[in-house]
Amino acid sequence: MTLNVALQRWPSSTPMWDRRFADVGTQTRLAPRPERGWEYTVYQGLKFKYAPIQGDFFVGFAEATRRPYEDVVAGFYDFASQWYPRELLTWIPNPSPWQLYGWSMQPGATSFVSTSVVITNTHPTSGWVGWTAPAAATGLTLIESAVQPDARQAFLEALDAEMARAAVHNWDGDGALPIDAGAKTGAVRFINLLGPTFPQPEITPTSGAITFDWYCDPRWIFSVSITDERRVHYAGRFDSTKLSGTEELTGALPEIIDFGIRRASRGRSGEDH
Amino acid sequence: MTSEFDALHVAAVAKITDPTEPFVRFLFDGHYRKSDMTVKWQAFKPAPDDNRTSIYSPRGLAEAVVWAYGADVATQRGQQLKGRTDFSNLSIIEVNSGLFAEWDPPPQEHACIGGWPEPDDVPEVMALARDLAEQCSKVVPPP
Repeated sequence: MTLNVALQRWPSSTPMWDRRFADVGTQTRLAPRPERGWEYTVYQGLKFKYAPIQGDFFVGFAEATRRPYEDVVAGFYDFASQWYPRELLTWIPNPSPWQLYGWSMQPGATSFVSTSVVITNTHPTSGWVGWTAPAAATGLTLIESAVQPDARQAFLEALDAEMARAAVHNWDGDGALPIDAGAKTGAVRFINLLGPTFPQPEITPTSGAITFDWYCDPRWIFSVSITDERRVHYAGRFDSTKLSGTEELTGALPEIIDFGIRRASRGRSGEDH
Repeated sequence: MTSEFDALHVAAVAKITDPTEPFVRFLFDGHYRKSDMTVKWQAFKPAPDDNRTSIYSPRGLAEAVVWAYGADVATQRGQQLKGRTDFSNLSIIEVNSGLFAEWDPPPQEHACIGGWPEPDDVPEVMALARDLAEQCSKVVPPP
């Protein structure tokens, strides 16, 4: 696969994670345009999407500009506000950053692939931001068929919609607490731990929490609730077998949660094998 | 003058022990699955202000009156009523983990499910709500 990526160097003395995207380098201010409930902005021929309230995320980073994409680790960028502080970044061992959130509007350009790449280590001289460039600009071609759809993208979009609905106190009319940024950070971290292909859950906001259900029937279900950025609560039922507990969100999906998701997703028929 | 004994007495008589007592829970967005019209556990998650779940007893009420209560709840919540689910006190009793139903007028048909774990015990709340939802009827849409 040939990946078409353009990189732009940040000013070497700039702590880029503390700066607004629109203020960096030679970039001009991004002008949002409403479209189907999302807002989009066009920058250098590329179209970027973000949620009006919670913002959207870009993923990317490489410690060196030529580092293979397989080694890229991820951080978040909130287009509605600014770079997240480093400590809020979520790190993923093997993401596929080119599948996220930005795409070109120009004919002949890459149609859905774009990524913001930013160095987040402690060496200011290695700061970069990058994105996929229109094919015409570089003469390179991205083979779209080589890029597999990432289930996380649709998941994140659904999460954004639910988060927007539950962002204020008493959003359900029954005194529900808002789902705060910590819970969203935790939810995104959790989603990223699920990997690029996973069975889609039901997403339901509840008071102060975002919940995910992998549902087969009322007696075959696995549920996850995320209330903050560090923990994931779960409860599962597989007929007479019940399990529940809390796990820390670390660098890997907790084994019990992986088990619960897989078992619920396979359904009862999966038990026959 | 009200003594502690009186308060305990009131609490005791407010609990509903009849396992055949019918209840309804009015449902809103996020409370059920459109795919099979089953109730989600989230529908029973207790309210954060009193850690209880609001329900009504339809015993002896005409259907129109039950739905009128639903309309009242929808108005209070400022949300569109999506339906209701029916279950009995036996379902609460059979969850067998400290949950109970108690009258909570007005109106006199209003009750609450109490005895939930502390809100911080998220997994236990999830598990109990799930067990309760599992015993409920499928969603009945408003007329």
